[in-house]
Amino acid sequence: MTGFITLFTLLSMSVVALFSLRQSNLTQSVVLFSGVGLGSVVLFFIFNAPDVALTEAVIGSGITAVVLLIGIRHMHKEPEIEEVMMENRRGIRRIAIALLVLLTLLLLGKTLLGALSVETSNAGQALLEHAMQAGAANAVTSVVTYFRGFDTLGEVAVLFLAATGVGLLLTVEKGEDAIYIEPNFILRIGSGFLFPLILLFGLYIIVHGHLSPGGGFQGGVVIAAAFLLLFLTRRRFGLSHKIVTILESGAGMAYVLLGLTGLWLMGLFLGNFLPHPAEKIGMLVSGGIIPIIYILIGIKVGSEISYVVEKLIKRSHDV
Amino acid sequence: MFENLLTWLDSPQTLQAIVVTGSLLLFGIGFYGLLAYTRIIKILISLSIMESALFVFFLGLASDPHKTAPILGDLFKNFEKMNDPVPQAAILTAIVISLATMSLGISFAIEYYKRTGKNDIAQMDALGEKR
Repeated sequence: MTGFITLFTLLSMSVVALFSLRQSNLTQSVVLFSGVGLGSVVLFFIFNAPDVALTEAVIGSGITAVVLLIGIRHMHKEPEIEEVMMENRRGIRRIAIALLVLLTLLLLGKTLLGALSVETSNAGQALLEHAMQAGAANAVTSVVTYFRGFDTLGEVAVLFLAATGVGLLLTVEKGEDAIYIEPNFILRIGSGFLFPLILLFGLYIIVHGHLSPGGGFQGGVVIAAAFLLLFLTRRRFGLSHKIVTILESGAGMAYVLLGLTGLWLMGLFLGNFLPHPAEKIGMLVSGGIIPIIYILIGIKVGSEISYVVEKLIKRSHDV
Repeated sequence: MFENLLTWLDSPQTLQAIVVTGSLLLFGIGFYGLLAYTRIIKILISLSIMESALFVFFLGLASDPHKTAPILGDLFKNFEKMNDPVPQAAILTAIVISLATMSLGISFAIEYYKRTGKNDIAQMDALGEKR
């Protein structure tokens, strides 16, 4: 059944992607594009990667579509008919090139297939054997926060740089240029009711990152989605710049300090200096510093993505 | 007949072939969009489609359907016969980075639009190019 589902999902993803590109209405195009993300969520579940599936569901087909829609809302000029016609004409002229490229890619795929009859190697098999010593039930979490913890520090730095860039670009000198539509009664009350629930769900995903699929990245983005709801329904609501700065930089510094403490006590950066016995695997308090690192990542990602979303929606000066 | 087809589709080699050709098809569609369309949002969508294809390609080749997800549970007490966690961790971080680059690109596009009123690369002439 695996093969059939994979084939069907990939084909429908391709069709949806093609339709998404051929739409002349950008909003429809983005909505169809999030369908492509949904297809890859299904595929990641089939490939036994629930962590990646959760990430793709939250980020790939969720927040990415929201970011694109906000962008369309800011660039709200409707294309003139002439422009769309020109676009389509260019499209037809270039289809030939694209088909040629596709043919080359397929030929490449076919040659790759010949080479792929050998077993794909398992770089992580050795890590998997040591995963028991890390003390977390979720091996992907062990890899992200412990075995490759230094890389994750770099990745969080990339996220920080992107957030800084967004903040730098989208700063209006005077006043604000917010996307806002007066919400009706149900939306206003419903958002107040849903906000704590979504926040709780995000915190749950962060705290249980070492036990089940999920973790700091996914939970942080869910928290940002909760704030997105408030930005859209409450005109005066804004993040306090001071609190965001303290949370963001505090989490980053705590991450580095945790790593340096490990270097001091254990002789290696991000060494697991807290007790993490293998028999406690599966408990909420287990895995030594692994859940602490993921909680720090969750705080950092949550505040960064919330800041990015607020900037994209409001483009305001004093945030 | 149908059962035979299903078992043929399930064999590891066919599965790999499906993943490789399917994700390359998706990649090709994204590449076509990148070349053929001129509005910035369309170009960003094309890039995202290409990224999705890449993630599917990577994970599809790295995973083995006969092994389980690399998470311990009530029925799985040891890290044995589990999928490789390293590609999953790599793709997880790549997805997060793709969101960051996407929002940076969108904010560049918004700022350009607010300054010049253009959201189409065919019309951009800020550096004095001829159209």
